[in-house]
Amino acid sequence: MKKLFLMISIIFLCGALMALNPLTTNGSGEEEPAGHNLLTFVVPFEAGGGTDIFGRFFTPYFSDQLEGNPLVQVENIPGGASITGTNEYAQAKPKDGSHLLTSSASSHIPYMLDQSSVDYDFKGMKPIIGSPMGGVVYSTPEKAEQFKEDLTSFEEPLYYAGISPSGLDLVTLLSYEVLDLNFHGVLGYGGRGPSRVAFEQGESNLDYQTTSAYNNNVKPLVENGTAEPLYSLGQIDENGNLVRDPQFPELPTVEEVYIDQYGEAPTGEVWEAYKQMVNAAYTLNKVIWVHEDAPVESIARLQDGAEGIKQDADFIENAEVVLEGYEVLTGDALQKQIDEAFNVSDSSKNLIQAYLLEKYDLDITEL
Amino acid sequence: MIESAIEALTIVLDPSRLIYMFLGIGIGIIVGLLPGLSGTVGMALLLPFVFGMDPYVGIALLIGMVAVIQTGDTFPSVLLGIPGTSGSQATIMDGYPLAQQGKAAKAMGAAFFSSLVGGVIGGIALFLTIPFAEPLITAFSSPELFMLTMLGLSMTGLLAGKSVFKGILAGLVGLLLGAIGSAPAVPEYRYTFDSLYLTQGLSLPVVAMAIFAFPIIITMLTDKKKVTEAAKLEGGALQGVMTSLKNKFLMARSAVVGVIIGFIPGLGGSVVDWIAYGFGKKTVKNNTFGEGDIRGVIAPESANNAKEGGSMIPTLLFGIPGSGTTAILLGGLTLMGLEAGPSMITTNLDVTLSIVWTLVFANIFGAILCLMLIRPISKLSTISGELIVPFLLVLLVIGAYQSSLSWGDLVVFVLIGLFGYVMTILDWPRPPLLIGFVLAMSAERYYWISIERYGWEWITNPLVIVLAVVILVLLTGGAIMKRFSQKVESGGES
Repeated sequence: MKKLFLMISIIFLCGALMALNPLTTNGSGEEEPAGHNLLTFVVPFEAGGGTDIFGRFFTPYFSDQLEGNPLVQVENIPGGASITGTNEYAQAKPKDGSHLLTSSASSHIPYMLDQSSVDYDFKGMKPIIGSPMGGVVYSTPEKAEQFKEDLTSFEEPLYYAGISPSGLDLVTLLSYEVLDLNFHGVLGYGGRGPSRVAFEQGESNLDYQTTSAYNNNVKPLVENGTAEPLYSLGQIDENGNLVRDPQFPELPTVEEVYIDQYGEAPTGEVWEAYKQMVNAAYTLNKVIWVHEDAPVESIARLQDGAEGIKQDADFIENAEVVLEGYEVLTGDALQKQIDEAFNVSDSSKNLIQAYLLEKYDLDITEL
Repeated sequence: MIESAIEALTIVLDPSRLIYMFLGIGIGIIVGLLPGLSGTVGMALLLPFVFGMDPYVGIALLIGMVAVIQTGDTFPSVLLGIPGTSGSQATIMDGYPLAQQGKAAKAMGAAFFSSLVGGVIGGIALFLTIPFAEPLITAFSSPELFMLTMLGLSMTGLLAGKSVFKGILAGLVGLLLGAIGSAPAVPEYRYTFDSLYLTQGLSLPVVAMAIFAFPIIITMLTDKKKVTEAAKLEGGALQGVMTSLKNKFLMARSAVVGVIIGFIPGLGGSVVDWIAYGFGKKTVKNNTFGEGDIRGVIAPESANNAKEGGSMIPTLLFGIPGSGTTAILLGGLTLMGLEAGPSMITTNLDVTLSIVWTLVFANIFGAILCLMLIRPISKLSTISGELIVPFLLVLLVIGAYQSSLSWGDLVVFVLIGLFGYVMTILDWPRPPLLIGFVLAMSAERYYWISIERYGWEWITNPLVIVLAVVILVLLTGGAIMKRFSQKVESGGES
């Protein structure tokens, strides 16, 4: 009977997988000899998260656009808030160009801040494709009005609901520091969804959401008059300047808000640190990499493929939904942006480390 | 809304989509059936295929799968005393003793029928709450969520068995285990001993498998006996269905508990079976819960299927997933070009309604399929322990390992398993440990946020006070509720 049990299971499972197979172009699960006919995207998160979706979204296009139409599969290595998988990619995955890494801001920020568990170096990797993401800070309509009149006038602190000061929240927190806003950060929410619900409940009155979540869940609040955007976190252009987010051209940047309120452009170390973090966490929100030691021709094939993907009509259409319409970065432009973003100056690094230690009692070099 | 519902029905019943729903049901039952594999695995397995699919087809596949996992996972819980997924642990408490008495078929008949009813109630609840979802969700801010975790923890007292002291202690050990890893509210790691693996904490499937399955396996080997000593499997599935029908109020009540717990974001549906079991134990008269009372199977099985309907509400409408499974579902929606959020009840209402219909149909078909499988599968319990252990061990090890593909999972599995074995020998209750483990993180998180945000003001929130009263009543006034339920449920019997 045990056999029957086993057999029913196996037949069922095989039948299910066979029936599904023709529908997909990425042959996950198929065992081909490793090398150039099978590309593996290492995703340092569990299946289903943002970075995983990003990686999976690209698989069919890599298959179509790369010479020889390789099979592309995704390998999820979750754990350690993306550090486990990224470490494993850097240390243990073959450096023959068959394995690629999909990284996100969660791997970029600890790297920039010298978190002790980081065992990878992006300088030893070649970027293939990079994709930006934006963020919008918003508040209640009453507070927003007061903010626009005089943001130093808040007697009571604004309550900000966040997840963890060492994640993406860091950029938002730094923007408040740049503006010298009176706020109280309540950290510990389970995610950006719960933090938005906290805003809707009135538990917080200052929040930010990334582009897709903002468009889907905050815009309706703005329309029915319960939320009001303050500014976008902005993007860093090729010259290293903070510019308006192309998805939110009507929203000012932190710089514009500062000029409007204080009558001069922001300067100083906090401001420099903020721009640096926007670059590494938002403009380069997600990057697909390959080991620098991979054979030159295989890197070239990937880079040519990336250029092809960028032009692909089907990709452009679908990217509108999955990548929120941001234009992907490739080739020299991507390399230049990365050099800029990850060359964090010691003073910026020390400033952020000291800030986290002082305000949130977090010694990042010990994590 | 009725019109749109009928329109969605025709979409769902389109034969080309129906096939995918059946495919999903098949996969869901297998995933549920194999101990160690849970909804998260099923989702991850199907995710690569949904990219670019017609949303209705993809939903038929994914929801069809999710809906029946809690139906299929009853098999190992009842037959072997090993939870099929972490959502059917409470079923073991009475399901396994029943199997030992040779009443496995009856227990499963009752379980599948309760699953069916619970699942359908969950689907209907999802449909009915669509218009009120927003005020309902915003009613639960951090202080209320904290009180709900306390309500969950108070179940440890109810499930403690003979000694309340042992129960509380086991619950505290669970809380301790749950504290391993990165703290929810303060940026620091606890008990990680510089290992990157432990920074994410112990994973629930591994702990649940270890604490329940590992001891059973050892017992099977040491005792060298079959689950069922009775020579013949007596009692048919139909008898079980009839018993469920007699206990219709318990079924409905448990389903409502399941919907509510599933609905509340941030609580995590993993304790829903225990909470329903605890409530059942408190409210059913003359019960012999824990010794093979069939009502102890009906309550958690009805609740764990109903939970899925409830948990869709925050997932679809607010984009806040309550579990690993729904988190992946959100990703799947993105791959099909949909975004969770208010648009799911405006422009994409038909998608949401097709989810409701799929939940209802998949629960019905899944339960019928399982009822048909009872006869062949229940013979498992007549196989001698030594023969079945190697097969189970392989499954469990794979199940543990797949949770994060790290060897650390295996170490944790063995260590916690041995601990669980010691607990069984010393007759310490294990459910409180699991409840403590599951709720540790949320309890700490919401307590911290409540204090950080409101100081002590939140103590006087009306809903907080109501929940505090409920907890007190549960802990002390069980007798009153028992008397009440005697009136309501005079027809129920085992």
